[in-house]
Amino acid sequence: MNKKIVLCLAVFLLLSMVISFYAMAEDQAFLDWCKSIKDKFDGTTINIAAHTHPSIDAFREMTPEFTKLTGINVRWDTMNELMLRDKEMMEFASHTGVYDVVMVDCVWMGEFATKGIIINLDKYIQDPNSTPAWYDYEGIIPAYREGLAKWDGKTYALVTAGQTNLLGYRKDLFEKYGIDPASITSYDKFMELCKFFNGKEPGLYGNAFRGQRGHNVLVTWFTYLYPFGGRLFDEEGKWNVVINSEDAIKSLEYLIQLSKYSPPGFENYNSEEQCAAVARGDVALALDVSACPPYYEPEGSMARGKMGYLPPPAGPKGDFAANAGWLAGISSDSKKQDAAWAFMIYMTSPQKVKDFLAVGGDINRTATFSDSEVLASKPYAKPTLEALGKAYNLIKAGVPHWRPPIPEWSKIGEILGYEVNSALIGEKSAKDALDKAAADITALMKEKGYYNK
Amino acid sequence: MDTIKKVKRGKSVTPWIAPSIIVLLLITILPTLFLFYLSLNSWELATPWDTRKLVWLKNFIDDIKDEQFQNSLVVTMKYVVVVVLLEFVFGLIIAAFIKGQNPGMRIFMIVALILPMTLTPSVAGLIWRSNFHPVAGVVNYFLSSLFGLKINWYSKEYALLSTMIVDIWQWTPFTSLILFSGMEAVSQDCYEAAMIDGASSFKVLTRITIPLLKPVILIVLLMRIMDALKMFDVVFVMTEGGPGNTTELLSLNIYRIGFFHTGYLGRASSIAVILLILVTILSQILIRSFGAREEGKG
Amino acid sequence: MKGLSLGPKVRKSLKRKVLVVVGIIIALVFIFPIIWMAEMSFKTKAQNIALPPLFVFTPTFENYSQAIDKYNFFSFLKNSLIVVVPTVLLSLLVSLPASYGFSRFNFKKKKDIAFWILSLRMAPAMAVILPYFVIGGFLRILDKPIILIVAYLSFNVPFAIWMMRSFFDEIPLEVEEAGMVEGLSRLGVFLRISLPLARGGLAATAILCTIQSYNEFAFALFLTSFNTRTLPTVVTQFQSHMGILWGPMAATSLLATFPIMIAAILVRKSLVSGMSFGMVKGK
Repeated sequence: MNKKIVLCLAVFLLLSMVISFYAMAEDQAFLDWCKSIKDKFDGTTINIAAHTHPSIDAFREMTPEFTKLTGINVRWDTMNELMLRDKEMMEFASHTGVYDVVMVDCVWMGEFATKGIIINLDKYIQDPNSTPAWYDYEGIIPAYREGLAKWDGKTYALVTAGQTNLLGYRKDLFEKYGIDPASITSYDKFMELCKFFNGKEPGLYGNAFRGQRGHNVLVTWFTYLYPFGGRLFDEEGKWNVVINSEDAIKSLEYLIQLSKYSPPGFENYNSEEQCAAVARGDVALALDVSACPPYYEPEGSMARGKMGYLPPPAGPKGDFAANAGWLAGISSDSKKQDAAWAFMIYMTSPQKVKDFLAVGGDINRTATFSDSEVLASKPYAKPTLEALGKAYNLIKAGVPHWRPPIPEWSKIGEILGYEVNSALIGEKSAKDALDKAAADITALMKEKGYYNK
Repeated sequence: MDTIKKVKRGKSVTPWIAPSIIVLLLITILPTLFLFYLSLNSWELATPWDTRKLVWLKNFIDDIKDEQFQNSLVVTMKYVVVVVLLEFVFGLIIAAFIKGQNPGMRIFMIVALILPMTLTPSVAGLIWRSNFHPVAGVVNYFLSSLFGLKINWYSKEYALLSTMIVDIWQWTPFTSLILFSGMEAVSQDCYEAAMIDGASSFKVLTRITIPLLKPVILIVLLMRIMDALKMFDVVFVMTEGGPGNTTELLSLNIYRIGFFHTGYLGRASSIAVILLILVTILSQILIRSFGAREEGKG
Repeated sequence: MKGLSLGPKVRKSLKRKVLVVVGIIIALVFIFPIIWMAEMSFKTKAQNIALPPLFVFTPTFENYSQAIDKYNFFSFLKNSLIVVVPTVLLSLLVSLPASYGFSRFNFKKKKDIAFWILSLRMAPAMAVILPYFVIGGFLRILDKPIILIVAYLSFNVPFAIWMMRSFFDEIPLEVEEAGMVEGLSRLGVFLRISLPLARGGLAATAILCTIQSYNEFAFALFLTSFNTRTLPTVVTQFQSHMGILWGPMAATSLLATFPIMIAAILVRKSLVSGMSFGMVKGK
């Protein structure tokens, strides 16, 4: 008996020693790698085209240490995400080669890959000299690694800020009115609560969402589209436009109904205004992407410490959530691609996950979800994991991409973003708007030769 | 008299003005010709130059058929008419007002008026976007505490008005300052004569001030109409053309089609050509009437 | 010396007081947004989105240190100056002789040429950006100061020609005549007599050209990217995915605009007459 315990203990001790030694060795390997990079690239400067985003702020915070360890200087060109794409396209059009690393929205992947703006990264990923074992490429959340970073079976980017949906709610208000947040399992219940809280207290509205024409309103509506059974195309590959199906119209009507319980001005709200509305305490609920929580509760704000988080509810025709995010790619015009790659794997390495999270970064690696420290300090970590399960449901249901990252996406997004916003402000009915969108998108796909194959 | 004529005529004007004309030809005519060429082509952003296709007038036909283009044309007209008219009327009132002040107040008001003009328009747009916030903006804060009024400035009904207000805020100073110095230049006797005749101040304004100020008024209108037609940055940062397309001016339409998320450079060029023609016609009309004045002046 | 009775006098002084009060209100309408921006620059993030808006608060200087350290204010200022200074100098160099020519010579089609030049200033930026961008790409001068300088010349030169012409018009011919009698050449008259006499106008022209170029947004955004990015486009850096960084943005804008404001106030008289192309000079 005693012997057994001793043996167990010995085995356990040995094991933990091995593990910690392994971890130490891994950290040592990481530091060695930094040194080897420094030998090669000391004094090099790389330029990065980035959007203003919490993850970018976090990377910028981590940059001084990176420069100290690797000797690579980093210059950031940060701009509004809506201009970033123009900027990157225009730089490519004239082959200035100004940028080395370019940040890419997952929906641009097809366009950037086919136009050759970013390079295929497989040669780096498969080469153990470029991507040492400690990087643990397989540790990146599969939905992001496989679903976002690839085009045509090849990897073109590394995920820097994977996103899914999160439902934020005000714990204090739910408590005050005796409502159990766990009861929000359906979109009907969500609507009911938005209605309940709307005007319940002076200056309080039900929920806040992004309604601004274009990208913002589109992302908002897509959150509702899939759970209601709507789809953009019947099937990727066939490309028949079904965005004006009955289910899709219903989901848009749902959003229009939801807007009745939103603060005035929602039709022009961007992320800034949506997050500020939550932070100011204007609303009781908010369903948006998982990057929001740090912005819902900035220091000194009314909502600080009062927010609880849930995965999005299940819809009448499926339990789905978004699978989206930002990635980093290497510009094909860059003359410092190796240094750019070193920067990218440093910033997204398992060794830097904690630093990244501490300064407002997103969760991109599976292991992070089982880290008790993270689970305790980030109340949105667990709901994010659950939401990712729902994002995976969508893939299982035959929709590989939340928004198809085909080269035509930007144009499709423009059409939809305009029509949906028009419906939201009552210029058109939901049906008229989506019929028009469907006709325009079909014409576009036809022009681009999608139906000739 | 002879020498004065000599001074006026000189021998050769060419060395004086030729350099500037050559420079202007190079930097404006060339791009304009290129723009015309682009407008006849179908070409997409970030694709090789060789992939362009000559499509002649197809872009222009597409423009005219495009609902959003028609809408932009209407929105632009509304914007220009309202903004220029109000800036002119307010400018006239404020100018008359400054004239009635003591010297200290005059300087104070002139300084106050100069400041908005120096502010970067894109910054002004952002600041006003926050001021107009329906829930937390200062504009609604004042409106509701003074008049119990809350306006949804981001809504389709008021979005265009809110962008107009910013333009009026930033450029009424321009009209008022120019009109003010115009009034200063009008001989004081005219006013005094009118005062003695017992004319009301409104009559003085319509019968004396405005006719005497005609050349100044024309140049003010010319400058403001042209700038309002060109408006881009303020509206872009405030609404990006939305909600719907209620604030989509022509220049925003060009941007949306040529860059942003579509990248149809040929189509965008054709709209730019239309805008250019519009601007040229309007400025020619104004310049002609303005030129006629100058001739009369001698 | 009208109205000797007391009534009108009282009424007059009351009228004066009302005038002053209304004048102050009008001035406040125009200054308030700028004061408000100044307040923003001293507020924290939470204070900036507070409801109701805060008018009294404990100021923080955090935004200014952020604008300078984190958001590289001075490197953008340097970019702006690299573009603006040559633009203004070149504009003046090209347009001064031309404006003098228009003011002092009579020649065929003078009016037509003058109006053609004026009409160039009216070209909408959006219409010329496309060709500039494409040509700039061919010539490989995108994102170099030269392309912005050229683009800015296209509206500064016409403007400066018209504005300076009005200042030269004001100089009495007799003064130049006297110079000629003393044996100065045409160029000598221009350099020694006319230019010094028009220096007030020259300063105003330079300042207006500076304001126009320094505040220009559309060209700067599309024709430059990293190495030449100027101050007005920096706002896009504060317009973030998740929030507008009101504090640093306001601080940056104030730092950027302050020198321009002071300069404009100093030359206000010439500025106003110059903006109207001399149309107001009591003719």
